[in-house]
Amino acid sequence: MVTASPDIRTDPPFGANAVDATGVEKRFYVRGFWPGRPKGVVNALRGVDLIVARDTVHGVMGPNGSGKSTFLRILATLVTADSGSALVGGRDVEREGDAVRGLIGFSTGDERSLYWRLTARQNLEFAAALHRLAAPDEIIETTLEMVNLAEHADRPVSGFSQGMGRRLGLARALLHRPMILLLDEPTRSLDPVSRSEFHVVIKRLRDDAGVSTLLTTHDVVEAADVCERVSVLREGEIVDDVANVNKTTLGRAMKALAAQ
Amino acid sequence: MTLIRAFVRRDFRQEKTYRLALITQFAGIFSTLLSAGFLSRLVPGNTTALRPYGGDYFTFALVGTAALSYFSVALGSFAGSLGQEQQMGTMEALLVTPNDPKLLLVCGAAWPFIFATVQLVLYIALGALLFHAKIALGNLAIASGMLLLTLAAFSAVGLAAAGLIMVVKRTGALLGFVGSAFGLLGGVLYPISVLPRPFQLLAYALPMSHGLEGVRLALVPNPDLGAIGRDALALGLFTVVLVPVAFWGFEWSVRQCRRTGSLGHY
Repeated sequence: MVTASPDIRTDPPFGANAVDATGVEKRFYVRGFWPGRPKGVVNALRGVDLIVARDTVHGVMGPNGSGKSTFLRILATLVTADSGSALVGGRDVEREGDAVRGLIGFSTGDERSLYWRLTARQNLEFAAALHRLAAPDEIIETTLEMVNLAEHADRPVSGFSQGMGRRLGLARALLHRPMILLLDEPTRSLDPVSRSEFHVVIKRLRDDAGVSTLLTTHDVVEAADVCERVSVLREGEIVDDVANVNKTTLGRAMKALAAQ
Repeated sequence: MTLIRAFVRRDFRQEKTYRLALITQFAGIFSTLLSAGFLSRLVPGNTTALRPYGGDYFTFALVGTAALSYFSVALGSFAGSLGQEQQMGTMEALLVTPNDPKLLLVCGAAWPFIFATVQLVLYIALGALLFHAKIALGNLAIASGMLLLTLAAFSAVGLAAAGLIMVVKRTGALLGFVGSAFGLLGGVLYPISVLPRPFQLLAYALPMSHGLEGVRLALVPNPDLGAIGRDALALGLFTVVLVPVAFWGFEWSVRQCRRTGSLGHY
């Protein structure tokens, strides 16, 4: 059974909101043959305003290419915004990148982001060193238990299923007990049982440890199950904001999105 | 140090799983030694050009090829380890941790340096034991110092290549060209004095030639300390000027990739 770790960090207090983004814009240039002469421009984000309240799970939904992953990557300091501002845990992603990276756990949902020749435990040992965790063995053990991988801890990741890889990616994001989780389609390719176990972990982290989560998803059922609020993104703009989240309200929002 | 240890442990663990590649790399030492041994049968010893280096061609070629392979690691390991992270898809996971990308870059190259050092020691030890290379062991400290200085100067070029790989994603061909240019002009298989004058001038503008010259001069009995000192000074200048420039270039590349959203691309 999946359980939230009892030693999840509950300090320190940070900004009033977990995420506070205002007018975030991002354009990507399609590379041409000659440097400085792009073939075209993609407006990935067009002035996104989004607030994730503390101790909540906030979903971002939208079709492929709507800018969900770009927005998450900007919050994770992996991509720089062209304009606008974004605070994560009260810290500015541009000016206080290191502080932001210390506050967040980020999972791309890409199981390729693991070291395949190493075991699950070895992957987490390396991640623990990157976060300078003192005496990480116990934390690693607890985290593996949280994502139901304890009995596979010493197996090479190359033998893992996609779902197991995804769970290990989540374990790595949780290892340093972040206050804010940024998860890009975290349950893509997970089986229904693993998916619902994952939902339990996210909710327990919120309820027991006050971890705020911002996740992207295409799944209405998932969003209805775990999210308190859902923002709908289309062509780089927030076109809907669903506060009273359930399958009916989300279904309505998705229908409206399809009709646009 | 904790971070360097973690990177070394990670890379050692990964390397262990590629057993054949590991064995082949050590087997390569023997083929290089044999090549140098056979080549030395063709080249008469104690010629004017070889005299400053002790006169023995096998020793000259052994030190040259061993040092070249060592310096090649400095040239390629930073870009190589970054390229590997990009290809494996682990780059974003690394850069989302609260660490300076420059520190991650240096730590990522630690294992290749350790491995190359073991290979270098084996080259020289086997060359001395099996082929009777004439190495003046009394000056090993001076030779090691020159080696380290050369490594630092070469690392600057390697760091610049790492910055380049962040932006252009593939630098294999370019690094191959730079490596072969260093091989041609650096005096690996022949002394620089046999090169035409314009090539000699080019050679002395490279850290490779000063490094090799210094290491070789240090390994002969009664070394010319003045000449070694001049080479050390040149290497020091290369390092002091090039390393900060290379680090600045790498930082610029990371910023550029954050702007274009291509940190994890390859």
